Amino acid sequence: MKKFLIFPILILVIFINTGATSPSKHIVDYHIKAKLLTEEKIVFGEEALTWLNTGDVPVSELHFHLYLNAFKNNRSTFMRESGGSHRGFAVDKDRWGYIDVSRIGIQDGADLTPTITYIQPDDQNPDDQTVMQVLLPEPLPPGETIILEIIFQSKLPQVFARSGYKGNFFMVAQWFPKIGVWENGAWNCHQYHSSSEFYADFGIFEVDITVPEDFVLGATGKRIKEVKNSDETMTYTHYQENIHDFAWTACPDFVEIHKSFTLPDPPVQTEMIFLIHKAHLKLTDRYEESLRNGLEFYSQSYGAYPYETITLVDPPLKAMGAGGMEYPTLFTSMGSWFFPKGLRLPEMVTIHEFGHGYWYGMVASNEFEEAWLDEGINSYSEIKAMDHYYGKDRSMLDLGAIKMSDLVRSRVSILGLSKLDPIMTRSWEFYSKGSYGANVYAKAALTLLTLERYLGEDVMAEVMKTYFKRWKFKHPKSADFFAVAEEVSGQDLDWFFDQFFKTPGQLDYSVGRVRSVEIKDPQGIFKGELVEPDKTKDSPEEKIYKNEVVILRKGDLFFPQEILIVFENGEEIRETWEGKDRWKRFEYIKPNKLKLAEIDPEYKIPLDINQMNNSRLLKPNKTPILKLALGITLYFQKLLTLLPF
Amino acid sequence: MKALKYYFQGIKKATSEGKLVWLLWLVNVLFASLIYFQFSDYMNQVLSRSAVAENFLKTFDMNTFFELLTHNGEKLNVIVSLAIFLLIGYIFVSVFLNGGILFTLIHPRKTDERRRLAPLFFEGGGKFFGRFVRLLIYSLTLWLGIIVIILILNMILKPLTKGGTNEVLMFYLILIQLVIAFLLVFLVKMIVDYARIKIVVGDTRKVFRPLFQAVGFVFRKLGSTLAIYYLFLLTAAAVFVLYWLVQKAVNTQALLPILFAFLIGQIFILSRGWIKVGLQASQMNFFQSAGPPQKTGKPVPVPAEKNSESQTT
Ligand SMILES: [Zn+2]
Repeated sequence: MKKFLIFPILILVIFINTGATSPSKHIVDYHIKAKLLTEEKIVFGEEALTWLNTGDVPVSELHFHLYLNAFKNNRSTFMRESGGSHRGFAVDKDRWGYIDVSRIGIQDGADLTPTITYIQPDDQNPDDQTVMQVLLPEPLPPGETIILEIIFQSKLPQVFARSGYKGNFFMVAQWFPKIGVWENGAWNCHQYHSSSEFYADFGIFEVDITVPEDFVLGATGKRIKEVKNSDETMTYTHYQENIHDFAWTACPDFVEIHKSFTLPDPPVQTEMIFLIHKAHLKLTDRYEESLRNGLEFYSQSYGAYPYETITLVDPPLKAMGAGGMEYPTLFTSMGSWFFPKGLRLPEMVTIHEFGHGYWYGMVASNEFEEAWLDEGINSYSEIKAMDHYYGKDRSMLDLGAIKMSDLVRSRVSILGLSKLDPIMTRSWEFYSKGSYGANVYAKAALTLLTLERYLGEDVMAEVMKTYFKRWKFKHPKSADFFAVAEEVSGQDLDWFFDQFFKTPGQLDYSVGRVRSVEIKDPQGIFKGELVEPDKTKDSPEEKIYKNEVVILRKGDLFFPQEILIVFENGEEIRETWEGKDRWKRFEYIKPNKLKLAEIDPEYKIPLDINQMNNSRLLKPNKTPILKLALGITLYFQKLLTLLPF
Repeated sequence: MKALKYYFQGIKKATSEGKLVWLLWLVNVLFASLIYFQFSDYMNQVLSRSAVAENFLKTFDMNTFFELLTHNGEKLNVIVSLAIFLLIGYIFVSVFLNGGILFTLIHPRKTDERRRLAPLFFEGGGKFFGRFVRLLIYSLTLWLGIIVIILILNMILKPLTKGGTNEVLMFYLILIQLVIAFLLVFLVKMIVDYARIKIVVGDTRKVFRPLFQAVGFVFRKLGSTLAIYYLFLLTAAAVFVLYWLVQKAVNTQALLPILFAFLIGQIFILSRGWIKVGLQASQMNFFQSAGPPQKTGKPVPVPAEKNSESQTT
């Protein structure tokens, strides 16, 4: 009886699940037939694209991303900016990649191929062909659709940045001519930059992918059909709505594992598909556990995961350049056979990339222009999830005496690199790739954690939930996030957002001075009479001290501070300071000396770039110093005895 | 079994030459003390007044460690440079020490007029310093040989991993290469040890020939030379394990345990010197009893085993 009931309930759950999401406006509708030639590393594609003009003005030209052309030569904008290296993987000189559009035309209409030109809206680099423009014979009025037929050939580069091949592994991403976003009467279609990701409109994707039959295929969306062909190939059809990109992967060395994930509240029912490289089967349980954690955490914190599938791809070690990347309903993680359990990179990458399904996949901000809305919010979510599931002090590393949290990992990356650009900088205009990474990921995440500790965890949770609910399947901007935060918290937070997101300043408060000076009895000439100190009261109990604590604001940014002052007798005083001035003095006349003054004693402000100077003891604490110094000395002594000469 | 005999002779000799072992320890401490003073001065400046210092009593505070690197990295760079400088300096001091050790070992101090350790040790160190430096330079060819062998091995083994797709195999191949590299390092160390012994025993000014002959000697008597060497290596490993277990048991959160842990560390450093002297004594005994008959050389050495017996009676 129970079994009998489960099926209709499940159907209902799925229905509520997918039906309850406010689905996106289908601006694009792609039907693509793709065939992979594994020897030539080429994908042949036929694309039928229906595009809707949602603007207020007619459109007379169309802009397309041809991302793979970034790998066409060493003078593309991507290559110039990256110097031929991305995420540490240098490009192999002979293994270029490109997209060749051999025909583009209107269905049953004009051939637009002769009008193809390459444009460079960001940097006018004539060697960059990552944005293609075609002219329409007549403008497309608002509210009208156009159906385009495109024949293209994508030559995959050797895996270098996100997509490409390595050996028999293929990561086919950013592989088809993808139309830009028509907004505010203009095309938003940026070139492919070394430090930038993507931006596209929501819609429907139906893709037929033909690969050799011994290859295991994984792709965005749900598999709706598979056909065995006569030429020892298979054709798989994948379909998905409410997404803005489509990626796939194929490799004969994948082991495909299906597991289901259900959550009662909020109701989630999805199929987890793991494509694990056979060298990493040992990691399967770790991947599964972390994906379950991700699904649970994000669903409960922000909103139910709405899609029917989620695919985790584990690339081979040699194709790590393809690892750690997100696509709608599919992402690549990262791992190796010899990763110890305490090195939680596979877990962190899995949770992070899965999380992009929310902050890139559903809440689809413009990553070219405001990358923090994706990477920053997602890193914030990832830190919270990692801390929640793997321990606040060891969520990233737990190797014996060496422990590190994901939060500390993020702090480490902002320490030196985050002071040159505001978080809100266009991706390719950062000082360096390092500055892009430090600001857009870590600094933005720590800023949100700092905001959370300012507003309180409950209020922040409500901010995030509201933001997700309101903006999923849309393209919010920074101002939209700020507005939600102000609305939910009921506070004017301009002072916070203006400083922390729009200026490159740093947050650094320190305890500048702690001093306890004995107040002597009156001595000298008072009202014309000589006063001598009272020699009878000499016991230390009767001494009175002037205790002084000075707090300094060393950074450009200000943030309210809590200060804990501890006296020798254990007495504690808590002070608050709005933190706007450059310094603030606190004084206490007491029979006890100070022991310690400490700013932010509960470590609520992870954005403070120097936590060492957040406290100051009146008397130095020599024991830990001795321990460290003797420890280092002993290490050195051992090293001396190990010299082989 | 022959190796065991020489092993025990070496151990006995090292134990009886306690002062020599202390001397080696002292040199080690002198070098390391420079690091201690620099480092503790630095830490006192940057960390002793911060409450986060306390964290280091319990664990290694990664957050503070990275903050130190970022905010106070320059001074740390100076200390690292000093450490490298000291390491290089120690190589030359070590060359001197080797001369002193061997010269001391070859002289039966109880029967010799020069009974005091220091003059004997420093005479030996000075006398053989130039020759041992030359030996060090010549021996670089052997070290280079190791690198070449490992590179060739790597070239042969790499295709087996199929472009890195077989990670398990890759892991074990790297492990095997590491083991082979260590075996080769030990072999070269041993050859250079015998070359030094040959130079001291024969009191020859030539350096290249003893090195060449040491290679011959080691391979001619490979079983015994390896056995002696690995018995000492095993001893070192056992001592290390013992040390590791003891120091792990010490909870270094307060001053006294910290000092106690450091003391245990010093005993470990002493044991390293003791093993070094033992190995040299053992190898010298073996060389003298198994090596080719001595050419002219002054002073005529009394076999060390007799010497050590005379000391214990
Ligand atoms: Zn990311």
